[in-house]
Amino acid sequence: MYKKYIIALFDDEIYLLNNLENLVKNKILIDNVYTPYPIHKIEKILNLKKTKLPFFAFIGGSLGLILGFNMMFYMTNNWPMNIGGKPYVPFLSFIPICFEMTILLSAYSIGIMFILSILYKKDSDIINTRITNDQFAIVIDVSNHNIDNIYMLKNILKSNGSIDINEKIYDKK
Amino acid sequence: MNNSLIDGKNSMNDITVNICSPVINKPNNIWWACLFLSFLGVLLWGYSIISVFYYGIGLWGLNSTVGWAWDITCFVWWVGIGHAGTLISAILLLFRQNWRNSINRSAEAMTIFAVICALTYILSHMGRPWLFYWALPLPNHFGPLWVNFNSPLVWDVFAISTYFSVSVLFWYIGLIPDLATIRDQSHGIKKNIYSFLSLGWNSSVKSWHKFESVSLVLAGLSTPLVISVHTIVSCDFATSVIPGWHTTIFPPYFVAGAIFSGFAMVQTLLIIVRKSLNFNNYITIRHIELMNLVILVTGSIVGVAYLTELFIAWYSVSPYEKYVFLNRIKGPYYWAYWIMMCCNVFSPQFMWSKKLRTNITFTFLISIIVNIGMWFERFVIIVTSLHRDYLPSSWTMFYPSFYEVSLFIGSISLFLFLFLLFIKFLPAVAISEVKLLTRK
Repeated sequence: MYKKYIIALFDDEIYLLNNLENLVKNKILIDNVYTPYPIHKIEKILNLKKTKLPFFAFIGGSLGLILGFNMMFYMTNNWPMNIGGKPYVPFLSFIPICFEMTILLSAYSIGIMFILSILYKKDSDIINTRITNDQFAIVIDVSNHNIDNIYMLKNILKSNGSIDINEKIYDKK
Repeated sequence: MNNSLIDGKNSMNDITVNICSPVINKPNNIWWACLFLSFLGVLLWGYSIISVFYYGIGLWGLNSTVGWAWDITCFVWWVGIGHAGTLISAILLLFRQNWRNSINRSAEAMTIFAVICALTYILSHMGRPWLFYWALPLPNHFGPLWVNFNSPLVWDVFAISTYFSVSVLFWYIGLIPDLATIRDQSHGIKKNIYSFLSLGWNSSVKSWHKFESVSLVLAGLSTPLVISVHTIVSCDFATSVIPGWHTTIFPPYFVAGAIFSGFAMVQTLLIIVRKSLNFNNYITIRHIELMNLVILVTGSIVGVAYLTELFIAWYSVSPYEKYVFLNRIKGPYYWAYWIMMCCNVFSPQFMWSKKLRTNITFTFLISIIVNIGMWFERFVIIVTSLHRDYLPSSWTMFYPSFYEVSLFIGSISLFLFLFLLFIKFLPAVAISEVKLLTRK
C-alpha cells in the first residue's frame, strides 16, 4: 500500500510547537516529529505513550540480583571455606556483588533494548540532514486526504512559519 | 563577569559546525605533536609492561614488608580520577544541573580512559597477568574451589568491571545523537563509518523520548554505582588489620577524595580542550567556577577526613594507630605527608576567592597540584602504613624502581593518547545537549 506524507520543515521550535498544536487540535494525523534536541512539550501535545524501556531495567536488575545471590550461595555451599571463623555462607558479604550484578544486568538490559528499538529503522531516510543540526520537521500522513485538502494544509503550514514543505510517497508494508 | 553557560551568540548551526569541526576537518600540527609525544610515552609504557609481564614484578621496588606500593597507589589514583565522569553525567543529571551539558562528554571519556589505566595496573600487579581469570568465579581445575566472597578484592573485580562496562554503555548511548549529527555533516567513508556508529538514529520524537528515559534510568543506576566503586576500593584497605587502614571513615573519605581528584583532572583536561579546540563559548568561565566549587567542597571534606583520622588515632589509645600517624607526620616519609596536606587541604582553600576560582591559569595550576596531592595521599596511606608494621625487625623503606616510574609516566601518556584520539574522532562536547542551553 502506498502512503503519502507531507514533510514541513521549521527553523524555530516555537513555530513547530504552534503548528503541532493546531494540527492536533484539527485531528490531522501526525506520523512523526523530528527535532535536533529533545522537547518534552511535543510528547504532551501528541499524547505519546510512555516508553516501556524502564521495565526492562527492572527485569534485568531482578535477574542480576537473583543470579548473583544464587551464584554465591551455590559456590560457598559447594566448597565451604573457614575464613577467620566467619560463616561458611556469609550472607552479609554477598551484598556488594549482588548489588553490582543488579546494576550491571539492569543497565545492559535497558541499554540493549534501547539500541534494538532505534536500530537502523526503515523510516530514518524520511528526514533530511539538517534535522540533526538546526531544523525541525513535522511529518503528516495525508494518505486519506484529497488534493484540495493537501493544498490547503500546505498553505496553512507555510503561512504559519514553515520554511519548506515536501511531499513524499512511500511504499509501506 | 559573564555568568552564562554558553557564551556568544551561537545559532544551532554554529554549534554543530564548531563542535564537529575537529572531527570533520584535518587535525592541526599541535594535535600531531601532542599525539607523537604521548605515543613516545605509550612506547615507554609498552616496554615497561612487557618487561614486567616477562620478568615478573620482582622488577619493582617491592619487598616482603612493603608488598603494595607504587602499583596500588597508581591504581587507586586512576580509579579515583575515573569517578568524576560518571558523577558529572549521572548525579548532576538527576539533580538537573544543566551546567553538566557541555562538560559531561569529555568527563565521561576521561572516566573510561582512567579506568583502562587502572585496569592495566591491576593486571600487572597480578604478577601472572595471563591468569587474570583466576579472580573470577569460574569452574577450575582445582575442583570446585571458588573465589573467596568475603574478600573485598573479589568485590573489586565485580565493582570495577561493572563500573567500566556501565560507563562505556552510558557514554555510547549519550553519543548516539551526536554521532548522527556528524554522520549528517560528513561525506564519503567518514559518513559511512558514523552512519554505522549512530545505529540509524533518526532524531524523531519517539527516539528522543526513549533516549531521555534510558539516560535517566542509567543515571539512576550509575549514581549508587559510582559511590559503591570507591567504597569497595576503600574496603580493600579498611577490612584489613593494618594500622592506618583499619578505619570506618575510609568509604566516605575515599569517595570524597575520588570526586576531588576526578574533578581536578576534568579541569586540567577541559582547560586544554577549551584552548586547543577553541571551545571558549561552550566551556565557559562559569563551568570552571562551578567545578572549582566542587573541588573546594570535596577538598574540605578530605581535609576534615585527615583531621578526623588524626583525632581518632589519638582517641583510640591504640599505640599502633598512634604510631602510624606520628610516623606519617615526622617519619622518613614525612615529606610525602606534607606534600599531601599542602596540595589537598590548603591549595583548594584558595577557591573561596571568586577572583581566583574564575582565573583559568590559576585553576589549571591548582588542578595539577590537587592531582599530585591525591597521588601522594594514596602513597602515604599505602606505603607509610606498611613500611613500619607491628614487628620492628621487619621495618624497611620502599624505593621505586625505574619500571614503576616508567609505568606511571607511560600510563599518563596512554591516558593522554586515548584522550587525543577521542577529541579527534568523537565530538568532545555533547552537541544536542548544548543546543538545549540555547533555548529561549
